[in-house]
Amino acid sequence: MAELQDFDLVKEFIAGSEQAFNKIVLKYQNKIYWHARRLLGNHMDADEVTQEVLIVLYNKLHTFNFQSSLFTWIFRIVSTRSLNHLRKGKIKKVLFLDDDDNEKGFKNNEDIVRDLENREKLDKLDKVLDKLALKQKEVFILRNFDGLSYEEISQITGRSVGGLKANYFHAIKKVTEMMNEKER
Amino acid sequence: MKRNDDILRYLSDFMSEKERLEFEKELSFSEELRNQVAEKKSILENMNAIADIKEDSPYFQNLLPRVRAKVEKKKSVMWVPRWAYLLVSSTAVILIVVNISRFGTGNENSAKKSVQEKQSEPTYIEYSLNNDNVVKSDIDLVNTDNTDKVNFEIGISQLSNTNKESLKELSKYQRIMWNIDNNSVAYNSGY
Repeated sequence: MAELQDFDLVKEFIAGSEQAFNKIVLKYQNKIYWHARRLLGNHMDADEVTQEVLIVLYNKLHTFNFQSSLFTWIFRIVSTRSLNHLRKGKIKKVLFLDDDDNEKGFKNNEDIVRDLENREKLDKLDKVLDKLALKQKEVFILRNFDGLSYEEISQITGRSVGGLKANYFHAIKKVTEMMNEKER
Repeated sequence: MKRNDDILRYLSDFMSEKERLEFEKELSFSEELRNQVAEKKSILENMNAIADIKEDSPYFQNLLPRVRAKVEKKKSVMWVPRWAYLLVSSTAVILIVVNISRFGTGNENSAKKSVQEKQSEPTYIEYSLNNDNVVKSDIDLVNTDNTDKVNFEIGISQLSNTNKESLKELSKYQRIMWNIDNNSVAYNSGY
């Protein structure tokens, strides 16, 4: 049902309805932002990627082929853009020898989460996710937080289901170890 | 350790069908294993609870207008596709090649031009009675075809037809002058 609604919105947008695009953005902006935020670990980068994704959506929605769900199509863009952003950041760090702590502090100055309890939760989450390898992090977020199946994750990441299962196994192994250490 | 890995593999659906059936069989008999599985599940669920964060700023209210503004800005900037640059540069190269093959280089042109200029230059003719004794005469040839002053030199081979005509008239005029001079010399000397 949701898929049909999405397809109708895309068709309306392709036919020239700007309102249809607004509806798509309002429906998915939250998921786009939080997926990027969990992958990137700070608001500034997540905001940049979210805007980038929405602009790409506006420009490329006419190429959507209705073979997959709009949700997985959008998430594929978010994942790709976020990972590219992370890789660029790593290259910058190597080239310009950026101070990681200073950079994080600066990037977290302006945040959409200001409530103290929520900030603590967010910091805890970031610390755990930061220990995971990129592929593990991606599959852990998509499966654990977004509740997607391996098949859906495979459509988004372009990786095999077997490989994703292995990545997820290693991810939850690290996560459970870290959580156990913190509880001790 | 192996038990821990088996639990995580089970939760990851990272087991073969046979392994999964065996694990589930063991799970139905062992309460300890059930507790261990429940513990791991609760850690992961706890992670979900941590990740459930509510934003407390109007970020999402402002997001759409910001994106819209960026989209409009991009629309207003004239977009030039990459192939356009290639087209322009290749056209320029083709034009240069065609130009060179059609008109040649500047040196060839100037050589041709200098020959043409030489041919169209007015011919100054020097006149002399003897080849090795050039005499420049300032004879006014108002009545001649196309030159005001003609310097005449015997032996000049490259002459235009007009100049050849002028040359004939000049020599006729000179002969007349020569006769007048001779006659006056003869008259003065008493011949």
